[in-house]
Formats: sequence, structure tokens, C-alpha cells
Amino acid sequence: MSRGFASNYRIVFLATGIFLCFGGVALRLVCLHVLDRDELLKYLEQARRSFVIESARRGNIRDARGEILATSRTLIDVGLDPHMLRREDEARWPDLARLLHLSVADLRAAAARRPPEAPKEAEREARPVQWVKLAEGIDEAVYNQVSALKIRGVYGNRIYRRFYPHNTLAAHLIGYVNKENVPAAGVEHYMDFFLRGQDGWRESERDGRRQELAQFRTREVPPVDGYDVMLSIDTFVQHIIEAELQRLAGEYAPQKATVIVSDARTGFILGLANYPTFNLNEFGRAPLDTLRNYAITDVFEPGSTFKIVAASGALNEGLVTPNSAFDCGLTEIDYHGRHLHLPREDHPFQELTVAGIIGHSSNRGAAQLAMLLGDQRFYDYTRAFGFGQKAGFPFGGEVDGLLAAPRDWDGLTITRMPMGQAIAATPIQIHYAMATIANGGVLQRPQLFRQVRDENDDLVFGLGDRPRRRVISERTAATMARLLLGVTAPDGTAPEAAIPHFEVAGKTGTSQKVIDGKYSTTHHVASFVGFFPATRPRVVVSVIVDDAQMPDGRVAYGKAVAAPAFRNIAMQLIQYLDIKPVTEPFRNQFALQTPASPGQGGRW
Amino acid sequence: MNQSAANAFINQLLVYTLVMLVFTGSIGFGTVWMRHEISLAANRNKNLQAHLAEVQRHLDQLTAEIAAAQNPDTLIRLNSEMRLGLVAPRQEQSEHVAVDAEQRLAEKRSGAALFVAEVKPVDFRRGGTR
Repeated sequence: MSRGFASNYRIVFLATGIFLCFGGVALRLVCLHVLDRDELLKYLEQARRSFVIESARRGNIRDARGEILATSRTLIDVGLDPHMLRREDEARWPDLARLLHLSVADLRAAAARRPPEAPKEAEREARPVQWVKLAEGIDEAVYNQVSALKIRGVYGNRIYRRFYPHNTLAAHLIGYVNKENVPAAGVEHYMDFFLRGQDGWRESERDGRRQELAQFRTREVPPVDGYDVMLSIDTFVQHIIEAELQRLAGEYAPQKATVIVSDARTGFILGLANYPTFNLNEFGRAPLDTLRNYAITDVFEPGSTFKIVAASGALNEGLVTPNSAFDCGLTEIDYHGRHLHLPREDHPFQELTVAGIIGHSSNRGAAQLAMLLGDQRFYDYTRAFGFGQKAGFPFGGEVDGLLAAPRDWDGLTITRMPMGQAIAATPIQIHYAMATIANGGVLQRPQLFRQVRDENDDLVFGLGDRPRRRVISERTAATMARLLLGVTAPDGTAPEAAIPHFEVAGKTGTSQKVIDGKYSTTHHVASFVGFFPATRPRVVVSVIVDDAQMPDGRVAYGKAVAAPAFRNIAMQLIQYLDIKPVTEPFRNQFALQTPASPGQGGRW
Repeated sequence: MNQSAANAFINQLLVYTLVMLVFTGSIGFGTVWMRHEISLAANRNKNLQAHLAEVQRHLDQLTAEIAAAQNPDTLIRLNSEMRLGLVAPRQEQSEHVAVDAEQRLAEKRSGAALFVAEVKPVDFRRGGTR
């Protein structure tokens, strides 16, 4: 056999070479994996490990028709790194300045913010100036132009920002997310659990250029986008009432004003607006006072709108009929062994039926109705109508209002409270008290949310109406609706609210404001709360105007300020919601059984 | 063991070692190639994800712009600027119809063919042909 390749010295040489190579590799591996292990792992952790949080997209807030009221979009904060700038790019700085609405001098100032001398080794770890912000909130289109300039060192960081396309529309309901991405108010805050979604994250590694090495992704949890929340409000209805509020503000310069529109049968809020209001996209500039939702946070004496409580209670208890008559010319009356002064009337009345008391808004008549009920029963009805307790508005710091228990009443309370004094209520309480009559005697909870939908627009859950309690019988409610029609009749207190061919039921209110502990004769809260069509109600509308300034110093009565506003809103709602006049076959049969009272009738 | 047998064994060992080196080298190269392909695929996925995110960003931007363009105030301003003269319908311009308007129009168009008000019974004659 030939000795071939395997001569002794060659074999030894080759074997030694191979073993040396393997030995060298093994030694290096021992160094890397045993001796320097901790140090290298620490370096790897710092240099290569990447933990990236992927933000979930916050859900939209939509109106009942799906119109977007609040959405999220990415904006870019553009800045520059002074260390990375190149001289040859300076020719393009004017273009950059134009795109960012800056001057070239601003750019030079930002670029000059690099350390004056070369940092020491220790300082190099944390560079004192790394990124100088030039502009924030730049949209994608502008940023694309900025990127196209290819100026080294100028780049942006994308951020999710909330955008409110309708600016001031429904500002007090929608609320806002602040610049720290914290939902601070309104639906944004209350429904944050559904809106915010769940951020995802992933672990991976990155290379020396800080680029992610996608093949080394180890664990990954995808983000779950937030749900869309659909409200019951309608953008157009909201616009109608906000436009009317603007008109009121321009004409009467009130301190504040509130308009509420709700579905008569379900209690769903179709629109709720306050004056003054604020721009959701510029919430930081709004005075703090304007951020408050007056409809639920501010109380005032309801005035004559509160007379529905005494009348409803007396009718519901069967103590009176619409034709029962009362002497409203009395100035004093005996009550439970006490001699009480009855309140003053704006116009002198003699004998009025219950229908007349409502139609002409008699203070003395309302007081006598409440006396028939007695302190405790009148108080119980007042509570049952929702006064003195939160209406259940889901957010915004709703207050209870002021309602004293009968044991705390003074001698005059039973004569003053029925006309809406000695009690304080929020606009939403007054609105839902009237809505109780429109809804056949059932008090509803204010309902603002209709549905929650996922990112595929599939229904997650829907919300229905939420009745609180039955306050009066359906028959009594229909009777009251019929009596409230008299208010907008030609001889009622607010013919200004009447609409041709439509049955409008409602009640005016004019309450004196308490200033320096006394009832003012020049500062009033004017209100009109009503619904239509009276015998088959579709919508309830409340207009409340605080301290309207009348042109010639006249008293700002509800009929002069609020009733015309109610009519303007109602006329537009009829067109938009396709509300038809109620024809004979469709009238509420209970209401038909009650004769339309002219105000005079048999003595009770 | 004599010299030639030892050499033969070593020759065989070297051949096997070289074959093993080639084999393991092939596996090594294969692994490197596979990992390279994995990294390419992962990067392609990453780029697709980034592209999807960009499309989503543009969709969000577009959605926001459409919503802003449909703002009632914007529409009113455009109506004024473009002198379109559009106004909301007034109450006196509306005629409220008590019956179902679609049904009424369908009846008007299709008439007796589909919406016969009265159904007349068939009159069969007895005892003979017609």
C-alpha cells in the first residue's frame, strides 16, 4: 500500500494544525461564554435588547348617526439634533423654516444649542442637548415635505393626538384628552375603559445602527385598539341648539344658558349645550369656568316650571280635576291652624280652574294645590319627580340641588315652594321632571350612550332606556300634557312657543336671582320647558337663560326670552326629525278624555 | 498493527474527517442561509407592518379631515362662500302625509297590477263550457 498523503510528519503537522484551530476556537468560546459572560451579557442587554411598546389606537366617539365627534390621528413633533447637522444642508434651511412657520433665525438658534466645547468622556454618555423641538403637531403631509428636504439631523417623533373635528360642538359632553394623553373630562374620561384599548409590546434586538433586527423578535403582544363609543346625541340637533344659544348670547348677553333636547319616550339625550362653551381642540386656552357643564353643576330656583309638581300631585291623588276651581284672588289663607300670606301674582286673578292655574301660571293657585297635598305628600312628589337628588347624569360632577325636608320648612315654604322658590334644581332635573309628563308618568334617567362597537364596527353592547320610577299614572300624565297645552294657547302665558298645526305643551319660568341675600328685581333666570306633540310626545326641549339683558331694561321673562328660542329649536326639529302633527286617530286616548279647559269651571 | 495498516487507518480517518467537515460545513452554511432567509422574511414582514401602520395613519388623517369637512359650521361657511343659497326647509314648505309615502307612490305607479284593493272571487260556471 502506498504511504500516500499520510506520511508521519504531514499527519502530525495537519493534526496539530486542526487541533490548534479547534483549540483556539474552544478557548475563545470559553472566554466569551465563561470568563467574560457577565460583562458581555450586560453589554448585550444594553446595546441590543429592544423593548418596544406599540400604542393602541384610541377609539372614536360618534354620534347617533355615526358622525365622528372625536378621533385620533398621528401628528409629528419635529426637531433637530445639533450634533448631526451638516453645513451643506444649510441651503435648505429656508425651505424648512417656511414649512414649519419659523424664521431661519429660529433654526440657527436651535442649531446653536450644542455644547460649546467637546464634552468629556463621562459627559458623552448623556449628551446635554440631543434633540431640540422645532414645531409640534405637524401633520403627515407637511412632515413628508420636511423629510423630502433630506436635512440630516432633522427628524420627527410621531405621537397620537386626539382631534375633535367639530371644535365646540357638544364640548361639555365629549370632554377632552390632555397633552399627556390623560382623558380629563366628559365621555373621554367616563368611557376611557372602552376607548383606550390595550397597548401591545414586543421584545427584540437591534443592530449597531439602532435598527430593529426583526428576526430576533422573541415575544410579541399585539395592541388591541379601543372600542368606538356611540352617543345618543345627534350632530345636527346639537348644531341647532348651539346656533340658537349663539343667537341668545348675541341678543341678550346672558351670564350663561343651557338647552337640552331629549327623546320623550326613552330619555335619550339628543342634544345638550351650554353657553359659554369652549373649543375642544384648544381646551388649554379656555377659561376654567367655561369647562363646567352648567346643565348638571349649577342650580337655580326653577320658578313657575316647578308648578307641574303640585298640579300633577293633586291630580294624581284624585284631590282635584282639571275643572276644579280655586279662588286665586285670596291674599291670605288658613293652613293647619296657621294664617299664611299667599304669594304675589304678576297679574290679578279671581277664580281659576286647575287648567287655568297652569295656563295662567297662578302662584296662589299652585300654593293652594300644594296645601291640598300637604307638606309631606308635596315633598314626596317633589322627590319623586327627581328634585333634591342626582338625575343620574353619568359624569361631570352632577349636584343634588337643594330641597329641604318638611321638618326644616318655615311657615311660608308650603306657599313659596309650589311656585318654584325655596328650592334649587339643576337644568337637567327640571328637564327630566317635564319629561316625566311627556313619558306617561315615568321618570327616566338621562341616557347619553347608545352603543359600544369594536374596530370592525361589530356591536359589543347596546344600551337601552333606563326608567327610574313611575311618578304619576299615565292618565294623570296625559291630563297634565293637555293642561300644559294651555300655556301656549293664545290666552296662555307663552303663545310665543306655539307652532302652527302642532300641539305644544310646556311651562314658562321666570325666577328672581338671589343677590346679596335678597331677591333681585333686575336679575332673572328665564326658562321654558316643553314637549310636542302634546298628545303623542316625540321630543322634550328645555331652554334656560341666566340673567338675560333685555334691550330696554325690561324683565327677562321666560315667555320673552326662552319661549321664542324653544319655538325656533322646535321648528327645526320638526323638519329634521320628521315630526308630524298628530291627527285625530293617533291622539292619546287619555288626553282626549280631558276637556280642554278654558280656565273657568265649576267650583271645587 | 503494521505501518501500512496504520497509514491506511489514518488516511481513512482524514477522509472521514474531511467528509464530516464538508458535511458540518454544509449544515452550517445551510443554517446561515436559512437564518438569512428568516431575517429577510422578518424584515419584509416588518416593512409590511410599517406600511400598514402608515396606511392606517393616512386613513386616520383622512377620516379626521372628512369629519372636519362635514362640520355644520364648515358647510354653512361653504354655502355662503360658494353662494349656493341653500337654506333649511321651513314648516310652511312641508306637507305632512299621514299615509306611508312609499306605499302610496308604489300604488300610484303599479296600480291594479300589484295593489288591487278588492279581491274578486272567481266565478265558475256550472254545467257547460265557457
